[in-house]
Amino acid sequence: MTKGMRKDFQREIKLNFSRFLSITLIVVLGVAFFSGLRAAKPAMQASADKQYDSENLMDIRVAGTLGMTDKDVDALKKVDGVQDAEGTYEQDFLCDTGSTEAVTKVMSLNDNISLVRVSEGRFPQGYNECIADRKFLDATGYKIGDTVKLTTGTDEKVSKYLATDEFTIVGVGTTSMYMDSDRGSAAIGAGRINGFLIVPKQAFSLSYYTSVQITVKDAMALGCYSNDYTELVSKVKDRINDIADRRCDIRYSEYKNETSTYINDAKLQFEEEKDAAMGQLGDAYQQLLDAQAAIENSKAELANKKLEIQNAQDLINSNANTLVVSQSQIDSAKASLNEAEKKYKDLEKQVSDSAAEIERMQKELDDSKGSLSSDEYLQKSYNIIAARATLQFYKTQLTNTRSTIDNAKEQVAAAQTAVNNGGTALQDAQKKVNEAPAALEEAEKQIQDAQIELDRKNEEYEQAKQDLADELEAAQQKLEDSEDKILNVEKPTWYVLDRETIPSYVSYKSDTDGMGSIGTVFPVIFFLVAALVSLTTMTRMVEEQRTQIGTLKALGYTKGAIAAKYVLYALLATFIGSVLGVLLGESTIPLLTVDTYKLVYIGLHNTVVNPDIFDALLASLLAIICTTGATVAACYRVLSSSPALLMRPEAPKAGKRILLEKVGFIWKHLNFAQKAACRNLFRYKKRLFMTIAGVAGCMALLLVGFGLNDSIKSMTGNQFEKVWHFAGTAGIDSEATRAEKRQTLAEVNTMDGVTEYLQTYRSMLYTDANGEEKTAYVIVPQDTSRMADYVSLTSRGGKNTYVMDDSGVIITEKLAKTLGVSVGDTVTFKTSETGTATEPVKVAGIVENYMYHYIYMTPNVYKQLFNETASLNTIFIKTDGTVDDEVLSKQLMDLSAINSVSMNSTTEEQVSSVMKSLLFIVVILIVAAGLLAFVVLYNLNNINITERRRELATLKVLGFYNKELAFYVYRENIVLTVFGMIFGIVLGILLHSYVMGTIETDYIMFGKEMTVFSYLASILLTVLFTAIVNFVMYFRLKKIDMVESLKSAE
Amino acid sequence: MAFIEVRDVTKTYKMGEIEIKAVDEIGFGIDKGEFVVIVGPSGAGKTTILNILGGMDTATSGTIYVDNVDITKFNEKELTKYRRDDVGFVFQFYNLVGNLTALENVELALQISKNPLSAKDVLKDVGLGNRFDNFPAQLSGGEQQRVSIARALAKNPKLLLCDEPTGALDYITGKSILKLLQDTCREKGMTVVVITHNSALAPMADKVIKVKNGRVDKLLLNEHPTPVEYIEW
Repeated sequence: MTKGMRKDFQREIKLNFSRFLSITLIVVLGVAFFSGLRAAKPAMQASADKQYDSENLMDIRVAGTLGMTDKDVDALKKVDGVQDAEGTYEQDFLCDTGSTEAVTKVMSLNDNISLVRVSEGRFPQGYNECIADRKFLDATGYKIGDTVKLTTGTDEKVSKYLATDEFTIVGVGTTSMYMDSDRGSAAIGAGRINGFLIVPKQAFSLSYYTSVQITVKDAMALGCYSNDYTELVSKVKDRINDIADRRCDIRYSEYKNETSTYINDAKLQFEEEKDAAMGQLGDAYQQLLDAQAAIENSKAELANKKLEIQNAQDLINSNANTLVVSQSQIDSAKASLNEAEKKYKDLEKQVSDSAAEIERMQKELDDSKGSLSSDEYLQKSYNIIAARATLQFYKTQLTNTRSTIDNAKEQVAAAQTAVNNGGTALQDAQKKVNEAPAALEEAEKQIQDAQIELDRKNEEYEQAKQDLADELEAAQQKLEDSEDKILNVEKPTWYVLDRETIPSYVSYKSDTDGMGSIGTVFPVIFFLVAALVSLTTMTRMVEEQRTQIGTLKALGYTKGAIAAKYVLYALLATFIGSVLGVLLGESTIPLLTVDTYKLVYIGLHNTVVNPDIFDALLASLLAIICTTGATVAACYRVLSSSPALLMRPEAPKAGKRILLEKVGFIWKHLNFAQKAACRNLFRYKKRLFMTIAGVAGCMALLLVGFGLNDSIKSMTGNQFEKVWHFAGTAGIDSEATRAEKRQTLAEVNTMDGVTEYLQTYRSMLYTDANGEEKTAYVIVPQDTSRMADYVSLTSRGGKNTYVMDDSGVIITEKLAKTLGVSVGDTVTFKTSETGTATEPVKVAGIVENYMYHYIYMTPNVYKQLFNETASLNTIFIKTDGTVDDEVLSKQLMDLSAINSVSMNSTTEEQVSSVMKSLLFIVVILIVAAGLLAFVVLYNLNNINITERRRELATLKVLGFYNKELAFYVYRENIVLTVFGMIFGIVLGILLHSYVMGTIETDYIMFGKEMTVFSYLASILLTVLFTAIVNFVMYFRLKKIDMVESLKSAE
Repeated sequence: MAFIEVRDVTKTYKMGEIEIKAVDEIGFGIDKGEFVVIVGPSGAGKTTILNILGGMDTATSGTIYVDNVDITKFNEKELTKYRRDDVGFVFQFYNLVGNLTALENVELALQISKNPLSAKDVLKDVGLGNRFDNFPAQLSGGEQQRVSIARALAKNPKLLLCDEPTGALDYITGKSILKLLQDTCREKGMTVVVITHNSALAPMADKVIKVKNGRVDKLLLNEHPTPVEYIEW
């Protein structure tokens, strides 16, 4: 480069700094986004990795179904590739603070592996001290220094697990095992773990470890989310699995020895208790028998008494009869007595008459003595004597009759008295008899009461007998079960789990993947734009200087030497832009990202941002290729022209008719300005293409941003409002007796707030199709017709609504998608990973669902597939919303047969809080879109105005007002913006579905639809951005000097 | 008062510390329907006069009356209105909008004009009756300048200002353009001001204003202007 050219180069930059700046800035933007977004994922991973390393987070965790022993730990330590192994304990407890009951996971404080970080306070020293989780403190309101009391939440004693049930909080700590705010579920309390406590190992009284945590040799040096790490750990996992079998055998025999004594004791105790209970029952039975006998006695007595009374009555009746007869005899006696008396009177009258006759005859005789012959006298006297003798006879008879009558009278009177006395006696007797039934009734009632009471007692006895039988049976069953469990316990299994089973480890990974995919796609847009902007800018620059280029060529400079100026110019701008971009991008975006995710991953306390030289160089190199490539392309055409041609002003771009003019009916309706705008649009094709690209990019970014927000919101919204129509589920203890279950269901039914429930069988199944395997929940409702009341069995978009029948199974959309099946295809199931597959079964329907996978199956299909009945183990509950879910959850947990409760509102809250972190990406996208729009549109408008300065100046001279002039230019911009937005919507929809696809995890399906609001907001923001740029341009238009119009077109 | 009355107009440009008087207390009058040539060497201030007269620039001091209105008092908006209603401008490099046909270029001016003439008629008048639908790139320089003149005339202005209208044209074409301007002045009574550095054109004017170093050097009146055809240079 000659001195002159060097000076020219320096002045070129100095005098036309804004052009230099525009290239620099677009490069800064592209490189900053590229390197920054690409560095975000590594930064997130490095931040976590460093924390995992510093806390020596376990790589592998081995949990045995019968616990782990020190010997297991030693054996594990000897496995090739194992760095260290440590036995650990954990158990869930309840912590009742009085106001709330917090489900608390208690973990042992490890010596070497998975260390705890204490952020406040200190580590525990005594066995009764603990470190608390921040979430635990939030849930309980406890603080450092408080004492926590734990219960098991079952009928077990805390002492089975812990040496003490009271711990003093001495510090607040975090562990990488729980980085986010989800603490998992538990089988006690409300079912969700509220927080954890970390206690020294000696606080545990268990005879075995619940798991062994292992670190892998050389794993720390590897990035924890790298493939190398996964491979290394997987190799060690395999080796651990190799020794698992033998270790399990050993543990099995140990365990059997340990437990056989325990079983025998338990059996003995059971027999004793059984005997005692049976004895008590026998006594009770004897008492009942005695009581019954007493009642029977009383009844007999009562009957006797009744008989006696009846007899008495009979007697009374017969006596009364006799009395009546006597009375009538008396009465007839009296009558004959009166008769006799009458006869006596007649007789007496006869006597007195006869006496009077005699007297008269005597007198007559006496009187006639004189007159009468003696014969006659004698006759007469004789007659009188005879009459006197008859009279005497009659007199005697009369006296006799008198005495007879008097005797009879006496007898009758006596008889009357006797009858009267008899009557009184009878009345008394009747009265007595009449009084007797009342007493009898009383007695009878007493007996009846006694009988009722006895019957009740009998029932009670029967109930007690049944209960005891049940209880004994249950106890027997339990004993047998536990004996089965213990003696016939299947050989223990080891679960060899890696970090992929730590929920926060996995969700963090998927979040970093989300960032990663953002970092892959979006920088490309910016680079494309950077390349286009550089191309137009450099083309403009080269064209402006064609005379100079021609002159230089004429002077004998080589093409290379001339091009060097422009290439160097672009190179320098790009270099400065790259350096600034890398510095800006790598220093802000990763840091901002990690800090944002820290809000969600509260256990994350590290921020490591490793400057990524590779990405920085890649970004710079790409930027340089873009800009210099564009520059070379711009120079090439000009440089290959002859100097003579170059020194002449460039022939103005020929106007051309456009296709639209041929469509007469449209063209004729356009006014002049519109026609001009249309021609101009197609005249500057490069600008047309770039503006559309820029606006489309802006629009697409905004749409993706808002759409992401929509999808995240709609996922939870759809799942909990559209798909699930129930309030929660409760797990029914499979060991509960039939009676317990019945009892529990009855209580659920009458519980306040619960409107109805559905009995189902729910479990995990391995589902296979087309060589893909996924785990999913199978739900078998007992009443298939009511399933649709609880879960919507409708395909997305509402096209098909399915009814469960025996022809096949209904599966959820994401499951169908990952398995690659559609309606009519078949799938097979396994109950365990290594189990045998069932017969293929038809997919009868694919339904809308956003979280987890579900298979809906009728009991018949289940039975057919698995040869066993789908027994009740889960109920789906609907509520009327009057009772707080948390309260309801606790009430449900208190029921004997319910061992877990999951309320949808709680799940929804958790899911949304995790999803909130994704909203950060939304903000990034909106900011990026804004910047993109500004840079591209400003640049293009700038070039447009510069290129058309003469034209615009001429219009000014012709007398166009500034506004008219602005609209002459804006009209084109508006059309381009509209087209850009249309393309942007298409691009945005595609990008959105791509991004959603990459951030979707296995068990989650996001909604793909965007709301009208998102479209409107994106459109409005795009319009706003372009309007701002156009407004700024207005001032540039105003400043155009009319004198330009007088200059020649150089 | 003359139709156009320029009185003591000075235009000062500031180049950093230095003040340069491009036009220094210049004064002249132009009557309605007059053909005026302003002539002078490069840098004499011709274009500045034209700019100020055309409402494209403002005078530092002095007054200019056009049809009894002082345009030096105008603000930007009034100046725009003045350009749009009263002035027709013919550029050295035609300044046609390349993307518009000949007819459309004329219509471009008519869009904003108060009482325009028919674009087609004007184009026919300037001899382009058969080139309506050609784009500037399809026209020769002379034809382009005719379109430019048509565009200026179609607005029906009070004053036609021409800046070196033949500067980019060959001799014969240049002559025909000048003829067109002269005919327009004669036949339509249009006031035409032509700026040129070519003093050979002076005889064709009714009035010649010779400018030198920002001042009016000489003001000549031709009683009998020579028709362009007879002028040689």
